[in-house]
Amino acid sequence: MNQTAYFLYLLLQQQPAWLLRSDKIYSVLSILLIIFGLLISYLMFTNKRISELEQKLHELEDLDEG
Amino acid sequence: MDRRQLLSLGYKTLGALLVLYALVWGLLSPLPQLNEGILGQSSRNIFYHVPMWFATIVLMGISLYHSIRLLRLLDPDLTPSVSPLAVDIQAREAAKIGVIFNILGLGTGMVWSRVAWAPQSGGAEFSSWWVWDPIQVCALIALLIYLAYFLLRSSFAEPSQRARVAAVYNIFAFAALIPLFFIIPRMYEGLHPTAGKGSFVFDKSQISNEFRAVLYPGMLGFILLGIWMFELRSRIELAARRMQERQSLHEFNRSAAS
Repeated sequence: MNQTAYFLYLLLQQQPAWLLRSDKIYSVLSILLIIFGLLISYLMFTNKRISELEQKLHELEDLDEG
Repeated sequence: MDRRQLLSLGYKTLGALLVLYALVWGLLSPLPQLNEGILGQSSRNIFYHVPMWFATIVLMGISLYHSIRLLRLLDPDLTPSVSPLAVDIQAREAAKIGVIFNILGLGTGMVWSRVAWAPQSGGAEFSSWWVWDPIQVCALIALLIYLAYFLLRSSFAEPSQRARVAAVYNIFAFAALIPLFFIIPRMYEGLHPTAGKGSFVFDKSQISNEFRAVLYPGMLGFILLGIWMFELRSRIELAARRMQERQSLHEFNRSAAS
């Protein structure tokens, strides 16, 4: 079993503290980087979507005023 | 790209890079171990546990700032330059992100305490998930105070009344954080390393340069990430509100025309 799979197995066993005490650093890092990557991608995607929506709203409001 | 957009892009990029640095270098760098080696590799958790609390305080502070701003805007002698309800949304969203960081702080603390406090729990391999340590309890009370803020908000149907009451409550909620985070932990002994003496995060004699080189950038990174999340949540909610107002205006015009 590779380290990441073993990490997930321990998480499912509700033993994340075991990982903190051990030196399974690369497993912890790989999982944290995946979470970080997903979070940043989500934030960037949302940022782009909301900018588009705000621009559209602004145009619509200008039209309403016109 | 104007100056404001550039500044916005700058802080987001800086936040993401600092968090990435704290994740990678925090786990891979060779570090002297805390507490005479008892903590082992788990001492690296300091880079993730401590920044959660700093981010919580900063976001609750932002929420407080918007609540005070809101109460000033409700002054009948002033002509508000922005909608008080928009400011209320900002106060609510900052508190929401603050609560997320508070939960993450409790979570990272619980996992760490399982290892770090095991020697004090009668030779067991791990200590309990929750040991009713005074600092743990203070952090939990802080979380409950802010959950009550959302409960209070949900009990008012009228938006301006909700905004006013929630803003006043928010001021008291933030005031409660001061004894919970800064005074009570210094007064009582407990298992937490800062119990009875306060935080050692900024004490050069207590924390080595190797730790500080990761901890401080990590703290700034998580705070900036929290501000980014708050900004996005506020913009989403404000856009939804503008959309709703526009729709109700159109419906009103349509019914008036017919």
